[in-house]
This record gives sequence, structure tokens and C-alpha cells, in this order.
Amino acid sequence: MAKIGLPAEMENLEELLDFVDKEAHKAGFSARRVSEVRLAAEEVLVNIFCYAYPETDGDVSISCFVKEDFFVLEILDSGTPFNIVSAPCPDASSCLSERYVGGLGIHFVKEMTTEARYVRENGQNRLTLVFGKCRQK
Amino acid sequence: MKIQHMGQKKNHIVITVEGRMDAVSAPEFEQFLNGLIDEGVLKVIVDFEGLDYISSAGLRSVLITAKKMQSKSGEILIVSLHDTVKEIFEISGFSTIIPIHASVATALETA
Repeated sequence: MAKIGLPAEMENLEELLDFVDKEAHKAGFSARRVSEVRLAAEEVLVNIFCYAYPETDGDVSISCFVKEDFFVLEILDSGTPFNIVSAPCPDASSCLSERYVGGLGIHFVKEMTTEARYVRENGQNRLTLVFGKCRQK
Repeated sequence: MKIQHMGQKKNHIVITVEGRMDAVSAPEFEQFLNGLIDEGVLKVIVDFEGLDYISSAGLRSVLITAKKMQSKSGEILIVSLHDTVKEIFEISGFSTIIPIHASVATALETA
């Protein structure tokens, strides 16, 4: 299992995502699927950077492993409890001016993962994202 | 991410965007387009042929600039999305609200 932990700051986004890219690539995923894994990871991380630690500094860690045919990401932070799995998605049919773009990231996470699980344990948010070799439409 | 000004075609300024438009690089796209708006440019074709990746932060920047131009009776036309990026536009629903064309040439035909 490969792991990376860094302060939850926007300046660390590329390093964290490049790590995820490299591990998904090593797992034998296609370039297109790696890009979808990266997208889900970015949306989760940006959300953590923006909302998990409103008044303090904190860290985020990512563990990657392969289980059977699946690539699994576990993302942990010690910030404000937030269950991205149960958060509402935007209405994709609303018009340009009404669109709630903020919810799009959550929509992407749900679209790109085969399965997403959330638990709050030991004062941490633990999000498990499971990716099959292809996106299920 | 790399943004280049490719000059004027008919009434539109063409710009190309290459690489990844994510939460770190998207503000750069917004600043570039704001610079054009400040110069009085109201019609822009954004060529995404070299764009490999876009996240919700990138889409947000595209949307903000599109709305800014529309409020001044201008427009942004998006062209040459490749499959991965096209998929993101489709999932987001953006492909139904921002005009997307196959190439600069086809965008100019309908513009």
C-alpha cells in the first residue's frame, strides 16, 4: 500500500494528484480511467482544502491499494465532519444562471467511482473511493 | 496549463488552452479572459484541443467568463474537445448550455 500525507493546502494539490495518477497507472488502468480517478480525487481534496479546517491548519492523507480488479483510494482528514457520499448533487437540467456549480464536484465523485463509502471514526473523516477498470455509466 | 492568443478569425479572438485546467490553474484562465474583456474583446473562441483534463473548478471558470461575456452581449464558443474532456462537459450538463463545436472552422460557420 502506498501512502502520502501533506498539509491540506491548495499548494499541495498537484503533488497529491500526481501521486494518485502514478499509483492508478501502476495498477494498470488506462490513461482515460487514470484521468477519471484524478478528477474524483481532485474534487474530494479541494473540498477538504476549502471546508475541513476553517480555523486551523490540518493534514490530509491518501492511501492507495489494489484489491482484486479494483483500485482503492482512502482519503483521511481530521477536520469538520462531512459526508460527501450523502451530499446533494446539483440539478443538471437547471439553466446557466441558476446552476449550482458548487455541487458539481460531488456529482463527479459519484459518477467516476464504482463505489464510495464514508465513515467518521476516531475524530477523522475516512472516505473510501473504489474504482473499477472502466467507468459504469 | 498553457494559454496562447492565436489572433483574430473573422469577429472572434481565438485562444488555445493546453494541459490541465484544475483548481490550481483555472484562475489563470479566468485572468486571461478577464484581460481580453478589459481590452474590449467580446467574442472569443476557446480551442481546447490540447486540453487533457478539466475539473469542476475549470468548468466554474469557463462558466463565470461565459456569463461575463454574455452580460456584455458577447459570447464564448468552445471547440475541439477530446473524449475525456467531452465526457466531463456532458456529465456536468454544460454541453447543453454553452455552445460546443467540433472545430474553429465549424464554430465560425455558425457564428
